[in-house]
Amino acid sequence: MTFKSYLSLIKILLKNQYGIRFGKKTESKPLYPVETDSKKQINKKVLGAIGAIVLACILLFYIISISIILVPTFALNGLLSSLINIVVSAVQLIILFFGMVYMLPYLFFSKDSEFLQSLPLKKSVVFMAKFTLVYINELLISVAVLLPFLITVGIVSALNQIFIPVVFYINAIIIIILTPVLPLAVVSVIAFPFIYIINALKNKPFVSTVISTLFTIMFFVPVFFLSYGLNSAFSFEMSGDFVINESFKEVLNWFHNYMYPNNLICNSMLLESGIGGYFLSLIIYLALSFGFVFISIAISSLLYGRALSMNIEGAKGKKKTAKREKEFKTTKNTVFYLAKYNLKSLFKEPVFAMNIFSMPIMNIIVISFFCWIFTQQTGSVNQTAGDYFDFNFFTLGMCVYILSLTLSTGNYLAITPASIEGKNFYLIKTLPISYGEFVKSKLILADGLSIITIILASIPLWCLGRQNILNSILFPVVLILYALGINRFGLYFDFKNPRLNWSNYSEFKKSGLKLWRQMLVGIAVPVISVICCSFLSAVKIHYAIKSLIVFLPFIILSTILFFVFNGKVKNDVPIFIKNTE
Amino acid sequence: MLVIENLTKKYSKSDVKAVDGLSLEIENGEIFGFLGPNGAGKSTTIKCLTGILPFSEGDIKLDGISLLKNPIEVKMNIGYVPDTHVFYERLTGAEYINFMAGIYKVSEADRKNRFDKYVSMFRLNDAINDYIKSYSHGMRQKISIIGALIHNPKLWVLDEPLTGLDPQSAFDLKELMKQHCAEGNSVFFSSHVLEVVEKICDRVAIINKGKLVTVCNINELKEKRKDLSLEELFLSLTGESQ
Ligand SMILES: Nc1ncnc2c1ncn2[C@@H]1O[C@H](COP(=O)(O)OP(=O)(O)O)[C@@H](O)[C@H]1O
Ligand SMILES: [Mg+2]
Repeated sequence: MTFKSYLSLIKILLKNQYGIRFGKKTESKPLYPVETDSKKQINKKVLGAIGAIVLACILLFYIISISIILVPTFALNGLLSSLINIVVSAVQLIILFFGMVYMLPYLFFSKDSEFLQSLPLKKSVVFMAKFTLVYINELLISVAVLLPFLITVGIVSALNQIFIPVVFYINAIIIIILTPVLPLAVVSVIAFPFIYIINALKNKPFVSTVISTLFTIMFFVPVFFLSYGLNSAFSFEMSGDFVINESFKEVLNWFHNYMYPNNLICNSMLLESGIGGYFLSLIIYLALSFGFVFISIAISSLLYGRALSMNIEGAKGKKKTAKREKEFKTTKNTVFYLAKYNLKSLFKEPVFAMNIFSMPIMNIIVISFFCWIFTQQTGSVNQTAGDYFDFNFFTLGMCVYILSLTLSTGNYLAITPASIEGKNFYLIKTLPISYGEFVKSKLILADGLSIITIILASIPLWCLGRQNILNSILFPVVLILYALGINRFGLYFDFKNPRLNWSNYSEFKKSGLKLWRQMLVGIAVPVISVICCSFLSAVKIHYAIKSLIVFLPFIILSTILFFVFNGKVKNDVPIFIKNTE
Repeated sequence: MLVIENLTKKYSKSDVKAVDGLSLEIENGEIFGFLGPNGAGKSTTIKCLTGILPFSEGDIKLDGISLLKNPIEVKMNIGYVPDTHVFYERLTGAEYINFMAGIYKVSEADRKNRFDKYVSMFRLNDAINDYIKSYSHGMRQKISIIGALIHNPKLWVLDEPLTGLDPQSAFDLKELMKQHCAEGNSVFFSSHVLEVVEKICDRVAIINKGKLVTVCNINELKEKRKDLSLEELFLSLTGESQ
């Protein structure tokens, strides 16, 4: 009976998250046919599906093309298992990141705790259902990246006459299933201090801002030093051939030797130490993985119980609005005061704070990673025509792509500046400030976050990316221009049609934000640019022309956006605010 | 039916007792009103007795079963309508009710009967297959009520249930409460409006600052208030008239 409740809880949580409807079985047969799809919703679903397919194709394109480039060379050097290990570890890093941003709030700060607690269910059942859901979410990432990657490795190897044993595919399935396990365990361990700190700081915005900044720096510093170290490890002499350099091999081997338990399964999948070794590694891998599962469950369930009561007892309606009114004084610098106040109140909501911090951090990590991985081949440009591939340029394209994509779709302060206020929005309308000043304060925040992100993200590109002066300058300048344009564009449409009917984060996410315009424009241009770049990487023309082609779509779009929407933001948005009901 | 013994609850972040030594007894088949001004401790008491909040002292028993020792069995017999509704917004109303029926292990036949009865009673037929996201406050309240009644609980607990309901629905709800009690079950609901309580309750408890002020049946209450206005009675009972 407990298991039945567990299953129905999972079902309901999945339905709520993905709108997945399971085949109706006898036990939970709906009494009325569930016909939720009006025409509008179908349209939305079609649009969503197309978007998802396009994104999936882009992702597939990258995974496959990168493996086609890398697999033969790595295999020839006997480094195939290291390559697989690196990719698996990278996926784990992504999962770790998602875990911090999504799993922690979902497990420990979610607003449904009170409702679930009133149901006749054991705490452990509720916990296990939620934990399972977290695992399913992370499994999706693992499947999305590793499945195409491992299949491509198999095919490319076969095409290049590289031996791939049958157990490769068995291990592939095991890897995909168990990859999320290690990051889950790490997140659970980190969560312990993290939750206590967040809870202790809930109502101290200044201190929490300082602490979060320190956290950010702590996260950033090791990445930075690691990048520096790697960079010097790879400053190898130009060798003309498409080979992997000795120092690179050393680092790879070092990484591979210590990256437990991934190395076990990666070695065994290629039968590197025979059949006996295969089973031995497999068994140790499985044992370690189940150890991680055990650690995650043990720690998180312990935490869950505590977080639950903190959550419920701390859930007393924050007197946010009243406080806001009381604290508000008109000062000379109303715009800055408003911006500061706004930022403070955003940091009170842990999820918003995490979102804001994750923007620069994620870019730094991803760009460092790209710069590191692609510039390994810098010196090895093959001279024969047709084999030409400019890895430096490709690196630039990828970095532009990632950064522009986050600028246009990840900056909450720009794409949802009005909606993020929620019900407080109406309160602002009662304050003795001009709406123009209010809009300006919103713009300052949005632009500020974008510019900080761009500058921080440029640092790894400058240090590791091996770019020429032109690109080093164009990169931040063009992207700042782009951010200014796209921020005004997003701000305009959010103020035009804000979703204010929410009072907590889960309602906010589900408040039916209308972002399709921002998403469409914000994804289209980066994609155009990165496709241009992929082609141009294989073409020998003057570097300045190449750079221009990659940056041109951004320059054009941002100029248009800036001039069209800057005026509109100044003139029309205050009227929108006035008319918001 | 329900026995609350010396319930004391102090929130971890506060130094005052939100509920202080509260003892109550609710009989089979009665509608029990729980009356008090804002911040008196009504919601806190209700959250304790529905198993949401842990409490530091006292015990709560439903038909002799202790909530502390046997929380699941007790919760199985309670239907709870909270004062604020947190829903899984991407479920439909029907899905939510089916989920509740599953969790409380309601048989297929009962589920169908009650579903039809309550949905048409609250005139939700048209909306029941829409996402909860699209519901108004009143509709959410109704869905929450149906979810709480789908297992025909022995004890039906409602926290300020009449706020936000239109007059017709409020009337329906009151009728439903009476009907539920007529079947031998009990209703426990909180309110800060004396009028409402006076009309439908059999007995009333008045609470202020976490402490029980008085428990009396409705005739005694009317006796006490004789020539006093509602507000005056309320103030004199809660000792704040001076
Ligand atoms: N989560 C909480 N943390 C601390 N104190 C709380 C919390 N919730 C309520 N209180 C306090 O407990 C007292 C009783 O509140 P409550 O039970 O909500 O009152 P009522 O429902 O009667 O209006 C109030 O003084 C309130 O400030
Ligand atoms: Mg209350």
